[in-house]
Amino acid sequence: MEIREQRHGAVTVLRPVGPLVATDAKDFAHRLAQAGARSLGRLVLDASAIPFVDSAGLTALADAAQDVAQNGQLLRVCGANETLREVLDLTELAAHFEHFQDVSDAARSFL
Amino acid sequence: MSQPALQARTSRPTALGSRRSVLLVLAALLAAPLLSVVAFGLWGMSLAKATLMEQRRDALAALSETLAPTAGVLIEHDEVTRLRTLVAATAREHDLARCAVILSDGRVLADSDPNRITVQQPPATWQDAAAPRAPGTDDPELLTHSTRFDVPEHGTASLLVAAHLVPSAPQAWPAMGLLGAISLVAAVGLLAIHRWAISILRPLGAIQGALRARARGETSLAALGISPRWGPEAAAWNAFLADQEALNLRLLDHRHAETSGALRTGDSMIERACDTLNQGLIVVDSLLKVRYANGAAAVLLQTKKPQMPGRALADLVKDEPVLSLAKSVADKAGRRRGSVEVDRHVKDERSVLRFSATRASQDGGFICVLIEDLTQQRVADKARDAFVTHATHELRTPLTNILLYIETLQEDGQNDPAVRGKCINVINQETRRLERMVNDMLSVSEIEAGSLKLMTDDVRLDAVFEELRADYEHAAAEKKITLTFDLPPKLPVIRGDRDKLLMALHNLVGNAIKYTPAGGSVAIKIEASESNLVVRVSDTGIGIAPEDAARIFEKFYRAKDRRIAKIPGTGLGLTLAREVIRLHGGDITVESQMDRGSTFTLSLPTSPSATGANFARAA
Repeated sequence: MEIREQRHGAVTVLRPVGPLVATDAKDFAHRLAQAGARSLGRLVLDASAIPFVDSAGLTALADAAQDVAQNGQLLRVCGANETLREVLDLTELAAHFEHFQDVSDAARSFL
Repeated sequence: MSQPALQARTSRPTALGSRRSVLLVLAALLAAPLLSVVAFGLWGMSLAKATLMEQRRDALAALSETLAPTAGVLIEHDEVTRLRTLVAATAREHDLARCAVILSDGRVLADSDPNRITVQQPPATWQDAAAPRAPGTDDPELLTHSTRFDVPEHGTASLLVAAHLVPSAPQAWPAMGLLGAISLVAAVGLLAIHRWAISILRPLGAIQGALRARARGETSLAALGISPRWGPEAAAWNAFLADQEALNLRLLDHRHAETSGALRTGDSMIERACDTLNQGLIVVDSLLKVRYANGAAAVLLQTKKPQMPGRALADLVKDEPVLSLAKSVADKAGRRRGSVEVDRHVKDERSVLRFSATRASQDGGFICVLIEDLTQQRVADKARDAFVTHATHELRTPLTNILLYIETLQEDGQNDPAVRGKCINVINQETRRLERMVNDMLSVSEIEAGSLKLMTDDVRLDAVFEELRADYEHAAAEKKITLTFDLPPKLPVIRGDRDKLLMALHNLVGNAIKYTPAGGSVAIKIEASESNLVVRVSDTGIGIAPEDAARIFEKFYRAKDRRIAKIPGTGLGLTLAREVIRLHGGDITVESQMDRGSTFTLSLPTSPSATGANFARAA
């Protein structure tokens, strides 16, 4: 899985490309934590290129959301497709994320 | 009133009342079996006495019947001495009150009491007479039996035996022993019942008293507790009270922590509330040591939250203005509140943080430092300023040209058709340029506002690329640039907004031709799969510096390269192109090398289930 990093103003946008599954979950969680710490929490997860997640990927997402929540924020996620959103709804994890339609909206939320 | 006095008032009457009740119950419990035992004893004694009397009476009768013939024989043969010896021995041997031989005329021939003998020798004959009652036999406590017998040729006589009703001690011993044993067993049983009842009722009575005291409002564990020596019930009651007390203490501690000590440690409600803040919050004491920090503060200061309490503020914040501010606010003579903004650069990451310090206690005992991340706001402010500057500049340039050529037209164009034609042509070009710019700005504004709508329909990609080729063939030829389209034999039909997709492709291809010097080349390569379309626009142009490549998609941003200063452009084209592609669920990325050229890669999902298009339609 390739994880692209973009800047949107002062906001770091991580854009994983490909399914978020067990083989990538650890690296994904590490990159997410690293980018969040470096950008002082100004982090957006662009999920538009994640077609689906497995349980390990879901765990990584939940852990990341929990880490961010400890710092007074919700993990901002944008562009999640129907599949991902349905998985998050079914597992009752959707409430742990702040959902945006696209990166611009998510970045503007830091204003 | 002191607490012990209150306890005495509330607990003593309860204890007394409880004991009185217990004693009454115990008395009732004891009296019933005791009376039963006494009645049983009396009944047993009377029964034993009757039995003994019957046995005694039978024994006397048998003795009398046995002795009478012998006495008759002895009288007949004048063996008076032997008769009297027999009578005395019989009386002694059988514990008789009296044993006597009485002639029918009433004279006593032999008696166990010699003083009662009235005739020394038996007469030859004697007549029957109404014998008076034998003396010594009128005692109602005596059992008597008289056996009449004949003395041949002399007359008749009677053998009288008398014995006391109450048996002698040796005879009563078995019955008395049995009765005593029964009484002893009953007494021991009663004692055991008494002790058992006491052991059961004492803690219950005490618990009852404690419950009544609790109902009256007593809450002290010392007053409500009972002696643990009173058994397991007492221990269970005391354990219950101890649990209640512990629970109350925990509740008190919890409330205390929530109301007063919550900011130090622990997982209190206030701490959890502080952790939900976006802003960092640090509480420092008068020595500027951190007493509490929330999660956002840890993130903004790039440290771990558990490592913050106890550390000096100077260890966490190196910026001198912040430390000066904190010292000033902590000083009682200093200002009560203040704020500073600091620019921080950590590992190429630039942040703008505002530290606001407020003295939270009159004596400067502790101060609160609020940290706000203004980075994104500053970036947005800068972008807005740049937007205004660029927009003003870009709008002014064509307007200036239009005004200039209108003046020329007014002055010289009326007489010179060539000048007039040139002026009208320039005015026309600049007006179109102005229109494009305004349209681009409107599009950007719509995207920013989220109101840009995609007019989704089937898009024939082969037609799109044919149109693109036709549009730029002439321009490329003019600049002597080789323009090539590498298309697959068959291109899919996708869902999307044709005009906006075409606008994005126009921007990429137009830029490639614009920034490629004469003699260069521009290649458009299309790769189409079942789910994805990738368009690569490569040129051999001037290239983009890495620091510019990261920002060229920002509104009005133009690279700092001097070579492009004279090339017209609004800085909106790439912004629009990428936003439009993102609305379709795709993206545009760039790879470039200075003086070697650039490659813009446009990726677009061809499946209608992809994300962006759905979102756009939903919006």
